[in-house]
Amino acid sequence: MRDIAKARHVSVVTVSNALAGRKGVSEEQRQKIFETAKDLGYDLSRSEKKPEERSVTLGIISSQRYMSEGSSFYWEMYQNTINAAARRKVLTMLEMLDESREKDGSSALISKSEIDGFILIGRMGDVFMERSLKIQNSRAGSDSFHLSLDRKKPVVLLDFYREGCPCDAVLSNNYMGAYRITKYLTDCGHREIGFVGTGRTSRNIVERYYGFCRCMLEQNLPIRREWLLEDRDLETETPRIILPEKLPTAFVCGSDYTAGKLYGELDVRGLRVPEDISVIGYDDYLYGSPFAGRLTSYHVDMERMAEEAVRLVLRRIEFPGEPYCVRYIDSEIVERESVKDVSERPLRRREG
Amino acid sequence: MRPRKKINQKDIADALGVSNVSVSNALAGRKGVGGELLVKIRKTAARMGYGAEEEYAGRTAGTVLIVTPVGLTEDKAGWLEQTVREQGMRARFQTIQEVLNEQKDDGAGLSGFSGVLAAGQLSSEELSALERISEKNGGKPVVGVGFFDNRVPIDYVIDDGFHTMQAAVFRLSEQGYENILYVKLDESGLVSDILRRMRTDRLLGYRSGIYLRALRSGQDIEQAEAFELGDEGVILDWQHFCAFTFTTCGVNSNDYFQRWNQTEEHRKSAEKCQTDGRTAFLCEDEDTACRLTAFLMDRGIKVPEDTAVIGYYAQEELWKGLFEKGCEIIYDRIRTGKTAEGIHLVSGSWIEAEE
Repeated sequence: MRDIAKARHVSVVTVSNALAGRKGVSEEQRQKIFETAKDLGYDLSRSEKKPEERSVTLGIISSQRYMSEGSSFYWEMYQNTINAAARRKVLTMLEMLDESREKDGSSALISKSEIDGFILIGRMGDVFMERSLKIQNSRAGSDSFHLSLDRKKPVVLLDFYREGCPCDAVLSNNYMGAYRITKYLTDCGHREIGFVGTGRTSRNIVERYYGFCRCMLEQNLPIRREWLLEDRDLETETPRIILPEKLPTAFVCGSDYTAGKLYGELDVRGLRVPEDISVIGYDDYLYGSPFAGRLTSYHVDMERMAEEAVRLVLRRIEFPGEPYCVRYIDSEIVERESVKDVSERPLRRREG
Repeated sequence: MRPRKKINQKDIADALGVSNVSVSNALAGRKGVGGELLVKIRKTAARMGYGAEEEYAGRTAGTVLIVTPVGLTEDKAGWLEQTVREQGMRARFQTIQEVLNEQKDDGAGLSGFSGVLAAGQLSSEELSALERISEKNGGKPVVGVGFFDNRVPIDYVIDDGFHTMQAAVFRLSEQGYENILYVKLDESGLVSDILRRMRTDRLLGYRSGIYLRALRSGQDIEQAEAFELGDEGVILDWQHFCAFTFTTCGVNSNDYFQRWNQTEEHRKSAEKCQTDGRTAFLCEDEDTACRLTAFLMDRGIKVPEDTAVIGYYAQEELWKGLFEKGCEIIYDRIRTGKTAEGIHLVSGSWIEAEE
């Protein structure tokens, strides 16, 4: 280290701090010290630590509207994220944005220099996305211990995606997952199938809708407009499902929450599930509904999604130049009691 | 046991067909190598056991067994072997019948292999049999490449035509193309199930891209209308297209259009062939894109000055990407001991044509 210090006209302490990633050295100086170290053949493996070994801190940002009553899905997603971070000895700080701050695009966490990267949980408004990512792109934290020339702080979107975003994203396997649950219904002999969900409010639901279409097209089954139901009144922003007079034999629901609401509407009409009509959901997350515990559903593997989000943000801290990617995490169908097998020869299903 | 030959940077460079300098820069984290090549070099190095962490030393990727419904041509086997070699692994080939026969004979099954890549659609029964053989052999990873079976819980690698086309619509919109038309050929019935599904994914990706674009621009479109959105795809009759392509001199483009205008559907499609510089044709595959380009240029329509034509990966390149991912999954499963994770989607990337 003395040789490096001499070559760069700095103290040995400065070189030691620079190589160990400690504060007190400007980014420019740190880069020059590293280059000199390499040129002199210094064994950098002694000083370089992997992000998992340094005390990396991640900022986790979510919106308050996701953490309100009936939306504990995102609390669980958050818990999985901090667990995944803890397994890698990574610290986390949480910020929950209220409506006004999300609209303003202001976040206290984003301006903190000790945060190395961010995970955004649940879809954020466009203003927030543009402002937060612009801030990220232009920031050049002088006391950041990021070792690369690229000073962007990586952002990973968890459970949502926005086209054109210069960042990674991790989502559930919306398109193929919905294809799977629709195929499950056709494997059980159903030919008249509808879809319930409001794509206008969620990109995830749009993808699930097209997954449903994929199966219907593949099986040469007609997609009937009257069986494509929305699940809310967008003007009042309240749940609302209007059932047509003639019903299909089965419904694919964009989420378990929607399936719960559909079950309520079917009950009002005096229809039983699965005896009169079959229902399959997406999320494997239904609480506080009489339907809970009976709904066959596609499981969303939050643990794996959170693990992947943490892995991606750490990887980008270490390798900022890699291409951005969107990861779709697949899972399995959890069979319960909401689908009736109407095929001529009912298939023997796998356990669990 | 014979000591394993130590892998050096030249071995990695040879496997990938790149320079030693690129490999050296990539592994040292120096500038000069970025993006996909950087990722590729690092992954291949890891799989070949270069500088492996002590925990994983010796656990190199080894040999994969590629199982197909029927035997492969020498040509196909050749480039598959090359693809696998670039991933730092070796390949052996067997048909599903050969594997099942061997299993009956001595039950040795998959010993000597790191995992199995099932290429080409096998039946649920054949896949289940492969899965059972793998469990008997210590749970060797089995990966279905290019297809998916809801009933057999192994890993699958599928071309993500859906998201790739969706992203293409977005990109074209960003570049100012207002009118984006999808070009597909009527299926002649000679298409395999795998290819048919891939095409469905691409068509739905285009439609979802059009829908999302409409929502982003503030249009309030109900779900029920969404499915019909994007149905302005130009469908070219396969028979006419073939006739145009293969007839020399005799058929000119005007004559083609006259025949094309005979049906109402085709006439409407023809009207949409605008050449105002803001129309883009998104083609379901490279072959369609080539034929369409030739057709347009013959009518005096310049590509890309008057209109853009975008194709999709050629089949060989696409399958190469899927097999690379298959190898990656096998290696990851060996290294971590993870169980099967279901469907893995392989997305495309935008490639500008060379001048």
